[in-house]
Amino acid sequence: MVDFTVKENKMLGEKYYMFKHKTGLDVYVFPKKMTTSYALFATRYGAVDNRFKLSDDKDFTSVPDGIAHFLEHKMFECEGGVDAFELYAKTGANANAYTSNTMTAYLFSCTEKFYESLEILLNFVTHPYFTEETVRKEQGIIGQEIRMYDDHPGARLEKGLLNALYKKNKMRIDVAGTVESIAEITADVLYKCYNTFYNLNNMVLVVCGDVDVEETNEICDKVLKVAPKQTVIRDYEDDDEPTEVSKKKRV
Amino acid sequence: MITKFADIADGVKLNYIETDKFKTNYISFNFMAPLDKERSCLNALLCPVIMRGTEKYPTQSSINKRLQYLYSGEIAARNDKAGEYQVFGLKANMLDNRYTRGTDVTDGMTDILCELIFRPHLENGIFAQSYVEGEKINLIDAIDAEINNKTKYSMLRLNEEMFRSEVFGISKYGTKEQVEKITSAELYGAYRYALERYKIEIYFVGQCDFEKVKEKFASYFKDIKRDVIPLQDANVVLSSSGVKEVVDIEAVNQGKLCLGFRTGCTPKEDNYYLLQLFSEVYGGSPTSKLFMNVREKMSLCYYCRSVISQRSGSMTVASGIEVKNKKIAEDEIIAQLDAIKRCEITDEELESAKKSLKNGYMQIYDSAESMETWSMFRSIGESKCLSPVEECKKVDSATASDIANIASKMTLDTVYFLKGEEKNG
Repeated sequence: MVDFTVKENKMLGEKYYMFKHKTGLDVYVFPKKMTTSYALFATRYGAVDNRFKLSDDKDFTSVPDGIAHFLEHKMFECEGGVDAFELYAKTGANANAYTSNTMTAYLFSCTEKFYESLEILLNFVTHPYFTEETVRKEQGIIGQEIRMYDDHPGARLEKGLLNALYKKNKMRIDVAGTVESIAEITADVLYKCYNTFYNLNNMVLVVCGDVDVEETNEICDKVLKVAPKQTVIRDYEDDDEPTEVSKKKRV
Repeated sequence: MITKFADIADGVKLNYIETDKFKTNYISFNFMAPLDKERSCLNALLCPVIMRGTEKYPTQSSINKRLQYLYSGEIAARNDKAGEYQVFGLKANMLDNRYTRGTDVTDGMTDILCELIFRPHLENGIFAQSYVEGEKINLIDAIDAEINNKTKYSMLRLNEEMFRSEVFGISKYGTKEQVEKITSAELYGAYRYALERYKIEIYFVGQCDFEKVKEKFASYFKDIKRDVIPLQDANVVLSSSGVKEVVDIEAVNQGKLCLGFRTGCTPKEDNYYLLQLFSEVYGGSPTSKLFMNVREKMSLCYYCRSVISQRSGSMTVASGIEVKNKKIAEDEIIAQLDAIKRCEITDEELESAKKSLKNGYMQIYDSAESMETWSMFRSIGESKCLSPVEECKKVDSATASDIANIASKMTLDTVYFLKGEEKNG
């Protein structure tokens, strides 16, 4: 039995459970009478976190722009040359992931074999595996993703606006980085970012649909290992962010 | 999928999909028009104009006030193209009565919907000039904005080029020049024409008193003389008569490559699930041949996918690439199709394609609008519509050679390429 809290709204007929798994992970369970079930596994790590250290480290580490998003792509690679999509293909789940300025999330939706897919999700996100060679290959793919958004007026506007609003705050950094910045990414730096931020104490799991709190806990027990307690210090370098906008006009 | 239906006037059908899954109800009122070069612009403009005011609520702000009172009910215009048909009308979403402490929101929203459609605000017997002119500007903006999304734009251009002499190539907006010329009197004529001549499909998804909704819609049709144009499936060109090459040059960074194929199948054949299953194997998922090879193995692109259009008997493969890689990407796209033609499909590929397709089908049941769209667009013209569950059963029985057989009928028709000016590479 897992020790959970329930929040319920009787009028809406909705409730959810939350518990802290023994490994340090926060888990939220939303049972719903839908055909589709969903799971989302996320870490508090995004494009703004490009300078950091653990409390025991002497110095801060600075990493290239776009690395959180790059790591998201590379997490899909698993040991033995398979990728997570191939594993999901056996359960029929529809999987995806996204990176924002402040978080990275891995998700899937499915209409059957939910717990099998959940096992795949928890497994591949907690087992990084990539080499210098596969990192180089990804540079071509993400390069095209960046170029695609370069031709997209909406994306350009948002990027330009954040860039013009802030002088120092890291919201000004584009989530995907630039073709030049991602060229600097190596497997070593990716592992460093992974070990810093993909710690279960810094992560959250949300499941929704035809799901059960006990069964979800059992899958967590099966796949996850207790995460070492560590304190991450993030340096946003924006202490002296001016209160006025950085550029009034940008064309 | 449909719980109940009723013919409420000549060529007017009310369909009820009963479910208590959602907290909201969904109603749509749809004109099913044959896609027509002269009329598509009028049909595109019609619903935005009738949404501007009714006899009872002559201004947008008075409509909005009423909608807000009804727990912020939403009404939107639709204008979709489905092969040789143009489906346009209004759709409404509203909170179900079990959450509204006594207010009959369903009834109130059905009233507004009927008011908008049957009792529009008129001046001198035609639509208000200012409303028509205002919406013409919005429609022209929408036409001008098509180029902003390069992925969609390139597919649209392919469609236009490939179906130059076929009905499928007609724009659902019409052209800018056509829209500019529309007068209020002409649009009012098109409105009467729509009410009298087009087949009409009304959908209610959620929970309602079916008889009451039926009576309400039926009462509005009492004073309309209907003379319905029968819908007929268009002829589909079965195979390509030689590859057309089209290149556009615009200010873009990334090259957009779109390949248009003739599928060799007509919508009359009951093989929609096979076309979709083929597309899953070829370029419909992250384990498909196009994704695994053009993207993962060759690092040429971020996306490379295939999309089937059953009604026009076509398939599009779309990808965003470096301009210099056009030939190599195109060759690989064709090579992967040839592999399927030779039945080079592993058991894993077949099984994962089936699972992925069935997953997509079953998810239809989780959205009111998806159920409506599935039912309405799949039963258009002469086609018959199976439910997603029934389609899943057929998917289960498909074999690799069924897929190879589908692939073997595919012929390349048009290659469209959107690229930047030479100096950018």
